[in-house]
Amino acid sequence: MPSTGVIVAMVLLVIGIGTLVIRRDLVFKLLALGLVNSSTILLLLSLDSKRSATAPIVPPSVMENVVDPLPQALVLAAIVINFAILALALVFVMVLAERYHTTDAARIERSVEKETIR
Amino acid sequence: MTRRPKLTTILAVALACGIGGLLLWSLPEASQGGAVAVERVRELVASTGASNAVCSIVVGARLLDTLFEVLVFSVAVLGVRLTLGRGDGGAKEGAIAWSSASIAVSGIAESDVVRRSAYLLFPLVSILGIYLAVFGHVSPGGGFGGGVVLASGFLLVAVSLGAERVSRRFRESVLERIEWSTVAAILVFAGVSWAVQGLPRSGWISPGEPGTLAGSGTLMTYNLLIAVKVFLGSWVIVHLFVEHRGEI
Amino acid sequence: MTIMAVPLIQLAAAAACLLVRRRQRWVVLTAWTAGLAFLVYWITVVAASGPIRETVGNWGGMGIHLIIDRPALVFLLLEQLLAGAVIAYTWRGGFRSTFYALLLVLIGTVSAVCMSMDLFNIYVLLELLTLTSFLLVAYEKRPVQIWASLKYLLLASLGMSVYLLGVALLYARVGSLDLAQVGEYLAALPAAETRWLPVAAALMTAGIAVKAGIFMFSLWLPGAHGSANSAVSALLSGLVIKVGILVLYRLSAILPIGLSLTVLGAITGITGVVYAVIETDIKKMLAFCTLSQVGYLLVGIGAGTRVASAGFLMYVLAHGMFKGLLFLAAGDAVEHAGTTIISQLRIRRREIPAVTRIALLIGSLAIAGFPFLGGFWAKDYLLAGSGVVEKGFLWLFALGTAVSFSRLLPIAVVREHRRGSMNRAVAYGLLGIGLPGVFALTGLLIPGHGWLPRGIWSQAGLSMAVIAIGTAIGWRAHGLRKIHLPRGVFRIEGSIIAILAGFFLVYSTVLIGR
Repeated sequence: MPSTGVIVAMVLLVIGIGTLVIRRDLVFKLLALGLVNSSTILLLLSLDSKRSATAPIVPPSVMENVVDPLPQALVLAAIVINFAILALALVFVMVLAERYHTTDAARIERSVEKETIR
Repeated sequence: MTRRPKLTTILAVALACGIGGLLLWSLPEASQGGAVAVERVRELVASTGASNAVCSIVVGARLLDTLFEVLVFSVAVLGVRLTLGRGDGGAKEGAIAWSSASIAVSGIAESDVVRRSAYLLFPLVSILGIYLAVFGHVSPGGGFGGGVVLASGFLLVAVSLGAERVSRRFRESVLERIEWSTVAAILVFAGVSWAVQGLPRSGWISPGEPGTLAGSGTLMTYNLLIAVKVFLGSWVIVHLFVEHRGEI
Repeated sequence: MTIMAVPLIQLAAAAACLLVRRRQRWVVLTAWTAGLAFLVYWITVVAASGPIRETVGNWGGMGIHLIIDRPALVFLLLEQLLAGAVIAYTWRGGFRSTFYALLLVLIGTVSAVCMSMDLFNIYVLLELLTLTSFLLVAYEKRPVQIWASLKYLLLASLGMSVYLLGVALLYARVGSLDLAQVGEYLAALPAAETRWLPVAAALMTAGIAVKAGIFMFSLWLPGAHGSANSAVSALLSGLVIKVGILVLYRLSAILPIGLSLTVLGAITGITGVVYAVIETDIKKMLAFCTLSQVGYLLVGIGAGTRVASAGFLMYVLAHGMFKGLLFLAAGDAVEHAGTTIISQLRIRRREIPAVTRIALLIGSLAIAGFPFLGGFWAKDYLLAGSGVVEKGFLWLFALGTAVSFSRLLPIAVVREHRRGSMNRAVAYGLLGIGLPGVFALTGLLIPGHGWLPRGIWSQAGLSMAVIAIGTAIGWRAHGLRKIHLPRGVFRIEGSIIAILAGFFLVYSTVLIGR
């Protein structure tokens, strides 16, 4: 039976992917992407969780039964990268919304296509 | 207006559930770890002299990843500046024009309580940020966390006292130069320390007793540099947003 | 001497670009020269004593392993050539420091990916590549570019999250992120315990496929490469896509994804060519062509024989060069003639300088497989190394490519000409001269194949025949242009569903192929 963290991560993943497709608003799509990224991070963190383990932040002489610190380092990197992507995507959504006065993905797509037809 | 048929909805939900279910079904019961992890973590901590194992990994063993992470952050700041800022001359005909704020930047703190709280909290937040960066190798923290906390302190001041007051003290171009000099410094420092020590094993400045402030060899330097970089980058992003929109 | 020196130098040069006030182009040129010097040095070392391996930060066994072997060298060579051409092409373009900084970051990251043997390091590097190419595509801030690059960012980010899920699954079981160690562990694993392996392999492949230009996954490609500045498109099509394919190549050594890659290659090749034939915009057509050429590369990896792998590397080099040449020349032509539609370009071909037109001609011939230019050698090796079914597909792609490029050939034929600019000529020269020499260049790196494989003249004859047939079809059958294919799949919702469906395709082919 997988641990709670893993189950929650999968539920978030399904909700995130579903929302990414179903909702037409660009801001919702960004939120959904953030949700997918969060579920990945949660999965990484909850893979090695055992009930009695402690955090690996003690001097080596007293260290025993610690969690694996490597996924936590990976998670740090993933968080920074996700932040950068969301910030840039948000900026672009802002610029597009100001130009087309809508955040609806389908409308923007159609307006862009109309503009490029000669 | 074309109506998106329900086919996409059904397809999306079905496929997403399929992926989630497959993953759940295939996750292994037992995980690696246990005794093996402790041995490796002990060796790691002893070699780097920092008692925070995650920090030794982030800025020690997997420094290469962290270098590129810092670059990801810098490129993001560069991108925000490119799109929202004065422009680089890259815009050709048909470009989406950058529109300046039509509302004057104003401080929204009319009440005394908010203003005084901001004055009170700002030094505390800054100290917390510096503590996280400096002591990152001993207790939970590190360069990224410290930098973000520092930036949030400045954001607090900007929200309650008006962004203009803060930005008057920093010139944009100077900030950009300091930021990229920090990146260059991190790159050069990493390159030099790798070349000097001939790659694996020992730290460049020899690691001392784990758990002490000065015992971490090069890790503290990296934490400080990264904190400065993240702080400047976050502030630039926030400042550009404020300038573009008019107020927070 | 640490092998990370080259990416570090290139990235430090990117920082330097933003710190100096003038003379940024000289900073870029210096970084490029340094890269070239290291490349020559490494070629001699690797040719003499085998691959160079290094580990960075190997405390507690958690370090990052790097390698320079022959595939890495081929990619580095391609990178130097393409980067040099782009630098020459944009020398007088009036680009400012941000562009050159992004360019150097792109180059540095590509160098780093070539050397990386670590799963998570690849994740970070590919995300950095996504961000950098996303900004380069949107550099000119036209609405079509902004929308195309936003779509690219969303899809690439989703793809890399899926890849990271696969890596998490793999790490939970294997306990290491190094490709070599994972390979050893998987080889020693009894077959009964591997029900999770197809899921992890499919997740990782599907994730990388989004960036590698494979049809179902990379539906952002025509929009992004078709609307970007030509120098950027040349780099993206010629280099960044290849990096994704290099990662798939490295993964195919440890994961059972051979059949998946062949199937994906077949699908990509055919659909790319079909869309390319009916496309009227030259840059979009080149982008679709990239999709189809990726099919060649995947079939080469999937075939698995040594000869096919040699062909794969040769084709990587050749395709990067002639696709780069075509994009740069097309950009030049569009600038002079003022339009991107192919029929309009043909009408206004007097405006286009002679150098550009010759470049277009050579590029088109090379991509169609004209004998003794770069593509020909590579295709020869690919055909020699693959089975009957794959051979059929490869010839089919060749026919389709000839049909779509036949429309470009008339542009080259005109009596009067204008003089082009010097820097562009240098750019074309760098790439164009390399084309006949692809064989020699890869020969330096891949020992053990004979100078001339058997049956080379019949191969040449067959290629000429295919080109002739394709050109005839392209010129005669105007009705082809009227076919309407579904474009809705390139919209954003369709692209995401295609990625999800593609994952299941990969999963099923991995299961079948075991």
